[in-house]
Amino acid sequence: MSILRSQVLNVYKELLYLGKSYPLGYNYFRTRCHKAFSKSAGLTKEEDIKNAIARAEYVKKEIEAL
Amino acid sequence: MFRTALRQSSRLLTSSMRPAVFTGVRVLPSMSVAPQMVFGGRFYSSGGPPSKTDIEGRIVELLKGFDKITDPSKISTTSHFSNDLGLDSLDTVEVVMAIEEEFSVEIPDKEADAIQSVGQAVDYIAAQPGAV
Repeated sequence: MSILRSQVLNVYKELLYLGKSYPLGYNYFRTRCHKAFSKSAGLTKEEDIKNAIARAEYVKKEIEAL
Repeated sequence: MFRTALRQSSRLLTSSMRPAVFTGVRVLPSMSVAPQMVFGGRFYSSGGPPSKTDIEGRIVELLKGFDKITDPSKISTTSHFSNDLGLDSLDTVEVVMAIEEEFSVEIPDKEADAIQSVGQAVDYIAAQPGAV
């Protein structure tokens, strides 16, 4: 398994942990997060995937700041 | 003047406090007769780790509550998350997280990745000494 794939799954997991205390409920967060991730599931270029991971990290910070 | 006021008030306080303390002492014995023990873990004298059938049952129950599985009748102890249940890799991460919570264990990323079916999850949990 590639490093990028495990990075993506890892950031997804961290987001889910953060989303447990999301104001609109965990289920709301989970479906939205899942949709957002599967939207970029088709990315193949390494550069694109890295950008998407960076965006996820950014969102993570946003949620931490809530 | 301030000092005398303080002294007076402290005298007042102690005199008014004393009965309260006494009643407090009088109330306490009735409470200590039946101490309430709250403990959020497994007592190690209480029968050991869950059995394999128990683990299977709990994981199947957990999957039944998972809204993304369209056909709950397909859930069995041998079903594969993506092939049989139609879950993608993100859903698998969620399932593994739910299993972690259910059994109060922490599954490292590498092992979490290897868990792709109900059978593998059962085997992994059964091998964990700390599973509740």
